[in-house]
Amino acid sequence: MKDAIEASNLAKTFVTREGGLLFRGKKRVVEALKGVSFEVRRGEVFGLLGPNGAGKTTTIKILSTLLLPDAGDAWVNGYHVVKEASKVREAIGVSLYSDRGFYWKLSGRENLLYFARLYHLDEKTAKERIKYLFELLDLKADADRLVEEYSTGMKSKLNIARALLHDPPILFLDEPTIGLDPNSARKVRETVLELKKEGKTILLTTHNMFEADMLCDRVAVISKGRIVDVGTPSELKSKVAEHKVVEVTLLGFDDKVTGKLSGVQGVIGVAARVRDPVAGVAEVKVVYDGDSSIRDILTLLLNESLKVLSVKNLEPTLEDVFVTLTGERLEES
Amino acid sequence: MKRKGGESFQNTKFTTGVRTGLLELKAAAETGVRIYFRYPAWLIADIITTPAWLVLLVLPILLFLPREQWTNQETLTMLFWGWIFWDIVSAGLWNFGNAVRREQQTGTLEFLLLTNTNRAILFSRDIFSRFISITLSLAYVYFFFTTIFGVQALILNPFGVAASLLVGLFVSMGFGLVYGALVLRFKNVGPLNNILQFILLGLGGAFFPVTSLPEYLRLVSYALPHTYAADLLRHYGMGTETLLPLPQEWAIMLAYTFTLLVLGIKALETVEKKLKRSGQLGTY
Amino acid sequence: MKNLEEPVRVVHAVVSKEMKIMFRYFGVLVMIASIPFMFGGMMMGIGYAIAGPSAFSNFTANTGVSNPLLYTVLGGVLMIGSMILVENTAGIIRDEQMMGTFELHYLTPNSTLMLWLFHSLSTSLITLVIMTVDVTVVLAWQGSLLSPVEWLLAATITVLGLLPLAGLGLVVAALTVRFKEVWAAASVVNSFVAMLSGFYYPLEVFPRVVRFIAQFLPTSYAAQALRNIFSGGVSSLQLWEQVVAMTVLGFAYLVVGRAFYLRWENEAKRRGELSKY
Repeated sequence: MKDAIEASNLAKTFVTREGGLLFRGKKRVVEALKGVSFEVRRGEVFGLLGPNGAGKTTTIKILSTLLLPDAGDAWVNGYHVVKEASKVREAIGVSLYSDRGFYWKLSGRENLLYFARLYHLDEKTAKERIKYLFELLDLKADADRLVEEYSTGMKSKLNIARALLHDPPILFLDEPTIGLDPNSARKVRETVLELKKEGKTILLTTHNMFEADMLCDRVAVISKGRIVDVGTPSELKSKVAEHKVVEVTLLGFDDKVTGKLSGVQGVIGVAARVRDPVAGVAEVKVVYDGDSSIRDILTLLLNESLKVLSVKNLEPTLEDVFVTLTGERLEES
Repeated sequence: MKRKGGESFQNTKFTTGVRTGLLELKAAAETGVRIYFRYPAWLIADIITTPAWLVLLVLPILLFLPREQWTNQETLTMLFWGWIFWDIVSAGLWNFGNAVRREQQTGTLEFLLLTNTNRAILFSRDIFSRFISITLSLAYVYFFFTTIFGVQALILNPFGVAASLLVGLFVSMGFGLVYGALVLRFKNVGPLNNILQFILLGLGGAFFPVTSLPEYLRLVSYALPHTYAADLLRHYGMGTETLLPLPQEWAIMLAYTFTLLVLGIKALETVEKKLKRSGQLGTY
Repeated sequence: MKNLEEPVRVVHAVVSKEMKIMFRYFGVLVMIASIPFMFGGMMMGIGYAIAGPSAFSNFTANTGVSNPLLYTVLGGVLMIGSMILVENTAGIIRDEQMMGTFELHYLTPNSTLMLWLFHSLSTSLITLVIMTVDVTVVLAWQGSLLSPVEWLLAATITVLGLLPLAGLGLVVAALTVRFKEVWAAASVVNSFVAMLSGFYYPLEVFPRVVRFIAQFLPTSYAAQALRNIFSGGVSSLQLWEQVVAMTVLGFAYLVVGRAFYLRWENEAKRRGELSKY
């Protein structure tokens, strides 16, 4: 059996305009995808791991026929996403990251019934399916409440239920747990694993390394519109298994520090996350090799006009793979 | 990777053939009506405000007549039908565009376009609730008109009236679909539609026969479908003479309606494709 | 000095924000400016079509004004201005709540009520711009120009006539915020303000009881006063009397609006519903 999804050299550029009062301002060209290629096997959970703006949602939108690529090709369930878009739509369920996307004045059940009909589900099947999905996602008690009364977590779960309405073999989940409370996020993750057991192919985007580690059979690391590596979480982690990771919290941080740290012998990757831009507090993660490197790293930091607030040794994670491959950190906060 | 449809749906039963279209219509109609009745304040507001708007429209027009003619049966009946026709034209013209804009703002547009539903049906939701609201408004406008102006408007041939209102609605929906496509593309193009509405109502003779227009404007009027729709409405409502023989007017109306609806649907398809290229489908 | 500087800065912030947003929807602005022409043109067209060549002389006989275009454009400007003002003020709580910016205004060191009134002031200023453009177009078409004195008088009357409606808007806002049907309620208010203000006809056409109610609307004085400045017309009151009436009514409207708003605000703060939508 062929792969469920195949993307080949997908490229996409957006043109935006800035500011302007009466007339729209300066043109800005953003290269969102620069030749993205990967395959997703049938029945696997495949993760696109990358920070905001890496090109994850653009990829999902192209694969789900909502966006036309400028170059490259993609097939979903054997159908070309541009030339056979309606066949692709039949085979996919999509949950896009959004806190909107429902009719407030309809109940959860009515919202799903509307979409079930648009997916051409037979009336009886639609009703049974909706009932099943409310049970699956723990929304049974709230099925007949108006969506305007739903919490963010409930709307997220309803979003996934809508993606599953027509029982598609392939699912696209864009940041399925973003902004959710821990309980809702856990429920969503459990659902993903259930769906995998049912044999569904799932492509999910996330910038949460734990989620990628826990849910995905394979992960593609995406940064600035390019896939920089693909593998199982353990394959990817094995690439940094021999490396060491230290996280240093600094006071008085500026961007030049990361550049200087990258120059230290043995340092493989450096990425910073600014905690307090006014005070200049930042957590800097350094992936390095060799025992002597840590001494050089700390010496450099102490010689700069910085105050080292804390130093922590960490076990290598998927984020360290990301830092090593891209020099970026996954999570903004 | 060229083998098609490698996986089947597990337990799902789909409708096929003509039933698919009917199901789409049912979804649009039921949801439209349901949402309409969940905003009861609008229905109440419509009824409460009708007398005020009627006075606001009719009185300034009457100022152009000598005071003793302010209660003229024929003039007032013409204004009554003009008012109803305005309602119909505005329903057809605005519904698709408003629906598209609302879906953009609600964030549902992308989810709707993930389905294979006919795009015209997808955005037709409000038309179904408008059927209810227009029928209701016909009743209460008639009541208020009679109460305020002391004149009973003529309805000579109710079936003819209904048919001409329906064709007026559908031909306006043709323009409305093009407007919907423009909203999909440019978001805030209400001003254009407003201007179009005034042109269609003014030059299409919604409130008076176009024969009273100067000749150069009459030429434009004859090219507008609304001229014939309003003419038919007055004929069936008040028994006025038609501009052309009846079968000819009906043939023109039906040809216009078909052409405009096809053009409108094509426009929607073209814009959807364009937005998928520029990545602006989800912007609002 | 600092005491004066601060409110000026706040007014500047609100007005410039509102103007920027309005001008970014330039098409909408053009539409608003052209509605008085479209509506007036439609009435004149229909009037002419049903009355024939004697239409304009009939109009003069019925209104005392010989220029129906200026008459309807002035009425149209005030009508559209009043509608936007009531709608914007009534919708401000809901709009800002939906954008998530409502509560943030409470965090600034300002009276929120004043902030919303500054928003209404911006709307009045936009109407002023529209009035200036529309009246200039009509006058220029007829070969004359808007004099600075006329403009100043017209501007004062427009703001005095419209701004009090912010009070009505606040009442609608406070009463409807929990029912989430603010636009329907605003539409009811607008329709009756439009009908009773005599934007398009002299109020003398109404029975006495309707005229009695109309005298409690500042816009009915504004409509008469504007017509008197530009196109003559019959009015039982002197300009200064109209100005006094608008000022007194304005004060009363804003006091009532304030009372309703503060009552809602207290309630909302107690129930924790300030940002709930």
